[in-house]
Amino acid sequence: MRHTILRAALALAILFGLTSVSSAYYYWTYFPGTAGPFQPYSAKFDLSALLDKTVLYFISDKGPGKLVDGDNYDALVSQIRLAAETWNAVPSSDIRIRFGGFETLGTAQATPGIDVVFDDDMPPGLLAQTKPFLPADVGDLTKGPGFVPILRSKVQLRSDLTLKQQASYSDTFFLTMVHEFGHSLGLQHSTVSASMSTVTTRATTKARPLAADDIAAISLLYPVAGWTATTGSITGRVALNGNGVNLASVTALSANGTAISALTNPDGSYRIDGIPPGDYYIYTQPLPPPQQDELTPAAIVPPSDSHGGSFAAFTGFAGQFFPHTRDWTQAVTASVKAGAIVPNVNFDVDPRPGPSIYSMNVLGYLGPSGKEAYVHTPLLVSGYRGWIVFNGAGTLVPNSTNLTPGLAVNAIGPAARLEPQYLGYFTAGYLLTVVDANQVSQPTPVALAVTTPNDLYVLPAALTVVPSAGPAISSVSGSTDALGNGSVTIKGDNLSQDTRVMFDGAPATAIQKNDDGSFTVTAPPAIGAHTAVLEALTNDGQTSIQTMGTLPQPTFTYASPDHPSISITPGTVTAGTDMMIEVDGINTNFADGQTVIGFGSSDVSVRRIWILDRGRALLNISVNAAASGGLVTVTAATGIQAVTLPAGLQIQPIAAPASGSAIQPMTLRVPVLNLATGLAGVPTGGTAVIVNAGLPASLSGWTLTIGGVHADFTVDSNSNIRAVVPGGLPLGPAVVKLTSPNSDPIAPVLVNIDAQPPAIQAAYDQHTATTLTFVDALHPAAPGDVLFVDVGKLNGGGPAVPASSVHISIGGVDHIATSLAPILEFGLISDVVRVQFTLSTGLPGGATQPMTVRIGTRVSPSYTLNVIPPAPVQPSKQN
Amino acid sequence: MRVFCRFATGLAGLAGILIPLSATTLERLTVEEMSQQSTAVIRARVTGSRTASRGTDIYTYFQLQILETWKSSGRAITEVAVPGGVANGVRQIATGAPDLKIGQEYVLFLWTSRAGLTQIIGLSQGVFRISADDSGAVLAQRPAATELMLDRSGSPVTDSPISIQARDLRARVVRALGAAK
Repeated sequence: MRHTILRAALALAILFGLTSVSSAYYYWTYFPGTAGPFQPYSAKFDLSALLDKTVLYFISDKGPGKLVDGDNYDALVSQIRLAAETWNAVPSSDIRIRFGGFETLGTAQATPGIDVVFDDDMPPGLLAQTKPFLPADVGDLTKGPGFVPILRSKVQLRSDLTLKQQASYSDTFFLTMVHEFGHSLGLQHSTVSASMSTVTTRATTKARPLAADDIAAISLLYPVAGWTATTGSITGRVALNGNGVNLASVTALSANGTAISALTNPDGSYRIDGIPPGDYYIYTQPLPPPQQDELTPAAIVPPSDSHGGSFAAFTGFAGQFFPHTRDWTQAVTASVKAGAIVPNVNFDVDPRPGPSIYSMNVLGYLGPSGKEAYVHTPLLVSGYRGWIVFNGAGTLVPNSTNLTPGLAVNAIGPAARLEPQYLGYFTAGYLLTVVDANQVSQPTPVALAVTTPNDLYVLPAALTVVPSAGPAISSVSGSTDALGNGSVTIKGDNLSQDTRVMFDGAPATAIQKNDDGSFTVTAPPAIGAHTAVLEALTNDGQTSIQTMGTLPQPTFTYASPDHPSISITPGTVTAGTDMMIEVDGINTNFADGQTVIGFGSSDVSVRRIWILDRGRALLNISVNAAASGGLVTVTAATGIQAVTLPAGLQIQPIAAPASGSAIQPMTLRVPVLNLATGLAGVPTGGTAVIVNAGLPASLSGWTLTIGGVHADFTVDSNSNIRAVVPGGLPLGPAVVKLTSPNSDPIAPVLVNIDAQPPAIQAAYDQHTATTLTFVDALHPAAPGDVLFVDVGKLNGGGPAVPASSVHISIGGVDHIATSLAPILEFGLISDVVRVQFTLSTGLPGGATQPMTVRIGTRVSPSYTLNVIPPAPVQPSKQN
Repeated sequence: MRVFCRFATGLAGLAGILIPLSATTLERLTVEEMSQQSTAVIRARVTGSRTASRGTDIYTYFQLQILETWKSSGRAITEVAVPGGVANGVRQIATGAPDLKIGQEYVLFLWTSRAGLTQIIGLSQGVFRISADDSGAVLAQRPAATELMLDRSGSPVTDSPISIQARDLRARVVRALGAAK
């Protein structure tokens, strides 16, 4: 009865606008003062100081001094790039991280960035560390931007990378780099087996490198608009004898294994944000003790006040589930809803000298018979029954092989069960037990609850149950053509067209299944006779390295043409200006969507790349006005191929007069925007808006060409140039060149010439499986209905676009098409495509809503859609 | 049963385990390995500290009063650098850095880079705190690492707390150095 009431109370989530993103402590956190209420201010990159909300990272051009035998630098770089890219795969995070090329140490840079270095100064015994740079004096936080800016971050690896786990082809190196990049972006350690957890408990894989906690963490720090409204929150307090407990870990744990955590404030209050809707157990436990003479528990830097004082963690209490139980079966769940808070989940914890059990390490033994290997936090297939082993502080009586009296280990949730009769001592400080993996339909992390008569330790994702067996590669064969394109045939088990096949850190493309069950893929470009290690990754988180046990990892050796090289035009740029750059390559393999070009300085941002062919690329770049002069290295990276041009670009600082401030040079700004859409693509006949700087107020006598064709222009009230894009220009990049009567040097930039925009012709509602009804005022569409919209010019004269790239905006709410079907006219395929999607239930009020269709930067004119308006929301009362 | 035997055998060897590294993952070094890989082993008291930049890095330098030198590279040591600190208006955070107390006596296993920077081996593994027990014996103590450590082959190993009489620690260092010759 008591639990029923509690459950009801927790389910009574109070609808509350999530107006600010706060909470969560595993950021570097500051408080304005030493007394409550405690409003946290986190350290993070200032997105307003980053072009396109993108922080550039650089890899030192002074590579590692030593590598593991058989390893190579190109492979290492590709894995670093893949690790960084991991953080870009979080759609709810607004920050992007992009390779800025190889960097010469000591390059002066005014723009925030991230440096990856191989450090001769790192002593033996230390493998990697990340150091964020923050202002020493954070001032009055309440009058600042709401956060503490990260000025720069530095990821340090040892120059000596000869430890086995530092080999680029080990999953461990990749996961380490994901972890370090997380630190560099502002994340501290997590306690719930996420990528940001410390080494012992981390349970992510190369195939699924981020856990829900990582995704919530980065998304809360850099939220995209509207994301917080799609998740819920839990708030409460952790207290011991009425006193708030600082830095207690509090975790929301679902039966399907999702774990989202936060740490308490100095007054014991906490708030877990970013929780996907669902039912959650909530537990609290102390942070593990500091390692040796480390400063802090769990190697988490505690919050500071604005004067440099810090709030130390309190760890003298026993873990418990809500409400005050160590038995997870007696815990109640909170029902978390989107945009709502579950309040008053309070813990009154019991004292004890410190955590008795912590830092548990779980191992499974996976692989083909006779070739098994130990796997950390193993993925077990449904139906598996076998041993797992684990160790952890406090699980054994000190200096003995006796289990801690009263020790019990249980799996939380239905995905797995432990057989308690097998719990016992194994060897080398490890315990063993038997696990039964039950049937699951999707990968399901399983948490373990470890209890003693007076303590509780919970380890989320101690193992994961997966529906089917993982991928394995049994043979690799292939060839490289004269242009360096590798075509590779792969045989193995549990491979599919959804399997990602990695060549070192670069994915293969164009995977095709052959009649004999093998797969043929296009290998990513590499240099010379590079030997790449292949790995298959599946969407359920499994990797062929884990599945194949101790079998050797398959490789492919390229037979590429001569060594590639690049050159650029122009070779000199001026600080404070934007301009186009042409990159020409010999023996390069530039590919759209794969090639990244960087300039070795965070002061030079590549705003857009157009790949014209495998040896030619055009770019728009922006150079920070505060950039120092100097030479930087140009890098063009495609797949595993990274081609450099040392000292390839000269940056000229803004000329400063003898007295007074520097003079802004004349420049056109990129991107050039479409007046009709505000996006960076303009069709012929459309109006381009060109922001500029340093130009005189009057441009009388100046001329403008676009794509070499004269373009009439005016200057609007914001001093922006408005020019009509001439007809007849080919699609793609076109040079925009402004010329003064005196032929002043104004660097040209590029505008993308789009195909003509799509046009909505009609909208239909699918009322039955076979009946479509034209949507009008008499037949409005209802939220949740499947709609069809006929759109002309959807493909813009080019190849068919995928449904996932078609966005339908209705009342400002974005919808993504679920399928596309060409419309036949007179039995022939027309240029009209029927777009299918489901109408959102979250539309704003009103019986008519503006609707547009967008593909890339092409946006249709608005179409009025009649809808059944949502029912008005009844205000709820807070009890 | 056959699988179980392989399991046990394999675990004893701990070969091929995939364990992620992290910013605070240490390569486990024994006293003997630290003795051999260090450039100096000293018993010293921390007398003060300062912070300063070194390139783009900031270090806190702890001044040392050398009480005994157990291993010397011939270079005079006056301070040891610990990553992190505040300098030139910038704070650099180095998670996991050791916390040396002014006035406290330590045995330190030090490593000087080719560029001349002297640091503690293994971030905190090379720090032994000196204290006296109830009988007056001088102890060198280091708590067990609570995080996983990797041995030289990359396999995880369990660390143990070390509490040893300072003279015995010195003897182990001397033996290790002798064995390395």
